[in-house]
Amino acid sequence: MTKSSTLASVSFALSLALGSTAATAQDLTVYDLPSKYMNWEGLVAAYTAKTGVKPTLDLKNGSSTALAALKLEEANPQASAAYWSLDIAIEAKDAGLTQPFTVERFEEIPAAQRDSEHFWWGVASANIVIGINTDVLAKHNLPAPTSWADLLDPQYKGLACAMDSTWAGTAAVHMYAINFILGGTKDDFRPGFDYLKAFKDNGQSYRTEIVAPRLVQGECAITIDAEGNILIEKDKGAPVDVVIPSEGVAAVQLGMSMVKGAPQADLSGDFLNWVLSDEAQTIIAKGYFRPVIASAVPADLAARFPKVARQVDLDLAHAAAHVGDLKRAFTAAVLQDGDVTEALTEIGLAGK
Amino acid sequence: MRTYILIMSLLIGVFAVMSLLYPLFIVAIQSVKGDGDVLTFAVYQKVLSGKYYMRALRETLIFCVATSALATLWALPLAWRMGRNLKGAALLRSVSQINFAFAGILYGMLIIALMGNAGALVIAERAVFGTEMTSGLAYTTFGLAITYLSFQIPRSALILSEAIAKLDGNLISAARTLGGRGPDTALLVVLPLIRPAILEAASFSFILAMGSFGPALLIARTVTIFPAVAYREFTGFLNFSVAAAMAMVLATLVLGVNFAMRRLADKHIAALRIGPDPRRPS
Repeated sequence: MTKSSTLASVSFALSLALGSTAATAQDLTVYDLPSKYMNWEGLVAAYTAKTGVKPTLDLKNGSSTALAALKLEEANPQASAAYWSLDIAIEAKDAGLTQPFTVERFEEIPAAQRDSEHFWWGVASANIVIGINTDVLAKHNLPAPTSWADLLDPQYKGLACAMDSTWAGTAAVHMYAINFILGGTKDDFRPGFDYLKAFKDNGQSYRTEIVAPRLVQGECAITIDAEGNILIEKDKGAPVDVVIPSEGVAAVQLGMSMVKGAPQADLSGDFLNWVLSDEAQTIIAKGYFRPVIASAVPADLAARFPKVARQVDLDLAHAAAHVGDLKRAFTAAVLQDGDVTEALTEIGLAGK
Repeated sequence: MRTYILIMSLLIGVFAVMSLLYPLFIVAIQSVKGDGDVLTFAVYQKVLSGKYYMRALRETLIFCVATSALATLWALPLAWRMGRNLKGAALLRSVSQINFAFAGILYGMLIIALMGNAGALVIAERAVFGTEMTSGLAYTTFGLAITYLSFQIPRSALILSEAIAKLDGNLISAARTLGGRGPDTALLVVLPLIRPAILEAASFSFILAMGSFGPALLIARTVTIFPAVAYREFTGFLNFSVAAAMAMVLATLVLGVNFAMRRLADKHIAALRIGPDPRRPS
């Protein structure tokens, strides 16, 4: 054999050998487990260490992305489970993309956060709050914002980042909830959308990426994000902090479902059950996300969550029914600089 | 040798079908499916008459034409150095080729790291001048243009350098002997000779630019990038038919432009009739 072909065959054999040793942990395909959201990298590490099964991290990040992927793969599902915001979980159920699965601790989940037909269930919730990078604000000689309205103030122009609601579930919930926080109703989304548009007009950005790392880097001085993503970085020593806006906050409900026709149904069932176990719910609580099974968490951990003066409760069913249309209106009115009333009238949510 | 060529051609053919023709076929079917199972062009009507989609297409076209032209122009000195094998040519060539390793999103990330709100440029500016005027430059049209140029210029340069390398050195020496100075030689002798390559480099850059949506997702705020809009239709609204139709419109448009450019280039080659086609191996 020639020298080059010997080299080629040796390196080929080596790569095969190395490849096979790397795959001793079994992979479990799950969609939308972002490593920097709700500390999925910690959760997956714990699960892999315990069972040798490795759920896939950072695959189809974004609740909307995961939903789109499942819809596309309907005829030949590649994933067995998904994690997403519950309003999108309802959309998935309506689209026939998920199957019922009874998790062992189903009865311990509050009724408002579980589907009576077992198609979806909550695993945690998180208040959507304002995150700040104290170093960057200090450098700009700015006080920390204290309300949602502050983000529309010219002194914070261009400093704030939110996630794009057509991409992230958290952002979709924020797009829905800000309306109720600012005094809108189920039929009138103008207060909320006026805010979202003014947010962009004040130079702020809507991003197609998880914004928590951006806050830590200082690329975004202010973010709108789930409280846990900010506090877990604060624990690691990053110069970030949470601000509870004075007008009030709403929570994004996060949950999981089993995909219809799941190729790894048994493995994913075990994983789905584990996420509701005391062990996992404690890891979630340590990441400052509020576990759905509150009793699973020791009292001292539970006491670390930021206190909220005004919590706005959301109607999940109404959200699920309208979030698709609202995303359209958001694209038209906010992203494309259209007219808020016109966009909302088109979907019938511009008040009576 | 004959069998080798036959087998290789077969393998390439299979690869082309599986990686391009079959998915293209699927996308085309998706675009005419619409909501039901009846084949209809209703979705195309929606896309081609939709104000939003056409505005995005128009903005993207103008932006890509501008950056392709600029990239090709800017690449000429670089291509000259590489093509004539002057000092530093090898280094420049390898730097241009490393370019191929980067995906669009990576360019977006690099630009944010350089010119974002907390980018290297801002830090330098703050250290030297104490001001922060370059903060957020990545998110302006200028920043987006720089991102596109950074992958267009090296590729244009590589194409142009090939053509420059094949130039007949005698023609340039003759021009010098006849009294032509640098700029005269460049404008009157070299440029006309490599005009086909310039057209090819420009149209290649144009194709690259029209197809890229990675940078757009991360940094485009002022220009609505058509492929990114298709992506939003796909993942944000699950509008697969609309996204597929947009993809077909984009592909048709870009291929059409490329075809036209090729015809133009061929006409130039025929008109030149000096030496072999600079684009074909001699």
